[in-house]
Amino acid sequence: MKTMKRIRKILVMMLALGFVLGNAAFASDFGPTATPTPTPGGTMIGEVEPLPGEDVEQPHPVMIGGEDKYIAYEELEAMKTDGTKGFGGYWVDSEKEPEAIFVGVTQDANKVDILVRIPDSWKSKIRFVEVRYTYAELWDTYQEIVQNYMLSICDANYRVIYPEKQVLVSAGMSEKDGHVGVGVLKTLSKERQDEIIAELFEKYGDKIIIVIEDPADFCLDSGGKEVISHNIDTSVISGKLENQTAMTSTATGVIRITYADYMKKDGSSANYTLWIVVIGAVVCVAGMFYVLRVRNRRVYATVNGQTFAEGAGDAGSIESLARKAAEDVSEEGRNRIFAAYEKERGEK
Amino acid sequence: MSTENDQLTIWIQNMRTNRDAFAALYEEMSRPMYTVACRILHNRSDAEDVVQDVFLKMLKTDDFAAVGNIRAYILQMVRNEALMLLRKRSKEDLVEEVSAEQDTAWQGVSAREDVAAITSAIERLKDDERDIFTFHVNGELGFEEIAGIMNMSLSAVYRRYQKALKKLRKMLNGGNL
Repeated sequence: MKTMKRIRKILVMMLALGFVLGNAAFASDFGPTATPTPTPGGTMIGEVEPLPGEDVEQPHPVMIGGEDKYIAYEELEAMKTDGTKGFGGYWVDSEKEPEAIFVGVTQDANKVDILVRIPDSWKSKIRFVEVRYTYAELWDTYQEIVQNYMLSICDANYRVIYPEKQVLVSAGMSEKDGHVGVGVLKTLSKERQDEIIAELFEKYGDKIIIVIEDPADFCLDSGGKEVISHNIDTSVISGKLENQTAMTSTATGVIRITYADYMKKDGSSANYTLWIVVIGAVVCVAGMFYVLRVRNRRVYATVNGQTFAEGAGDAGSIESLARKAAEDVSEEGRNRIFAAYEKERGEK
Repeated sequence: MSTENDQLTIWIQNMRTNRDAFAALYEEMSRPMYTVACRILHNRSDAEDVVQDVFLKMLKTDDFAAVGNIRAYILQMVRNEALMLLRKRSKEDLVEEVSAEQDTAWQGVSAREDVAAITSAIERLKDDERDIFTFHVNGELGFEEIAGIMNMSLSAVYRRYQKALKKLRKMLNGGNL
């Protein structure tokens, strides 16, 4: 009986331990570095989503047309680098308003300072759109990513010379969307992908959007500056393009991860961790309760001035005494019971 | 628990045709059954009757396989039979008899290690305290099982058990209740 109770206790402890470890193991797949995957609810975007800048018809820096139009674009282009406060870049949107020029401005921007540089005939075409980051901030981010993750593994001709170090496929700046799109290599191991995603979001926050991309896709666009594109297997081309290019990455079925998605995942992980803590606490309390019950059952009893632990089998304990005091059926009683048994059996 | 339960089940199922199975069951269970009956009835002869009745009932019962805990089930049968018998008897007769037994046993308190002392002390407990104590110590039932038999909450059973221990300790140390 005692052995069975001990076995039961061990089983309960093993179950509790298994439960906690199981939860921990399960939770590890939900950590902040886990690769986000499309879900029906859609925290991760698994549907066809245009990549940053892909559907945006970028304004041509050298426009053919009237002088005012030329000056307007020249000025806007200059604002990208001349320290105009709160300037977030500019773009056109053929679907929304083809004739207008959308100008991104942060909250602290002085719109008058911007408008004063635009010829009068074009002032009415300017549409201000509030953005979180200035062009300069995004540009710095973009440059840093390109330098650290792409150019660092290329030779002078932008040929990938350390393929084993390659983690990104593309990088592209989108003024309209107000972020830098970063393509993470799809063929990386899940763990490595998770590491890179976490690393990028920790460094750049919501300035970037991550896309998991196939290595055969081309990389990148740099907002009218230097463009590097490479195919991982073959050639690497670099050069200057007069026209800005959208990213050439295919947008079909890609997984796009925003910083909010990442944080939400992180948050859900935190929630899960909270659950683990709560469940763990409940298991601990239950365990303690169980232990205390067992402990309390071994109440110390004093018999004849001596203290004995109950249930410990001590001959002097109350329980031991009580066990000794168990009654036995008398011999006559035993015979009577067996006789009744034989009679009953015989009748059947 | 399951191994013991399985063994008891096998004996019960075979005792109709196999005297050895009955004997084995008797050896295993008669002592706790009789002790429980004695503590309730305070009468050896009546307790033996109850044990006999329960064994015969087991012989007639068809299916013990569905019973979760055979030991608890048997001891519950003993308790029920004993309580039924107790109700049949007049209280006056019992009180007289118990008092006589107690007086005799309590004389041995000076030699506190005497089992008679604890027997007497146990008999002076309240009914539910005595039953819980006996089920736990002599019947080797857990508090959960006793709670099931007594139709009480686990904590109530545990509290009464603690109270019983406290009383017994006091009595064995020469104190009064």
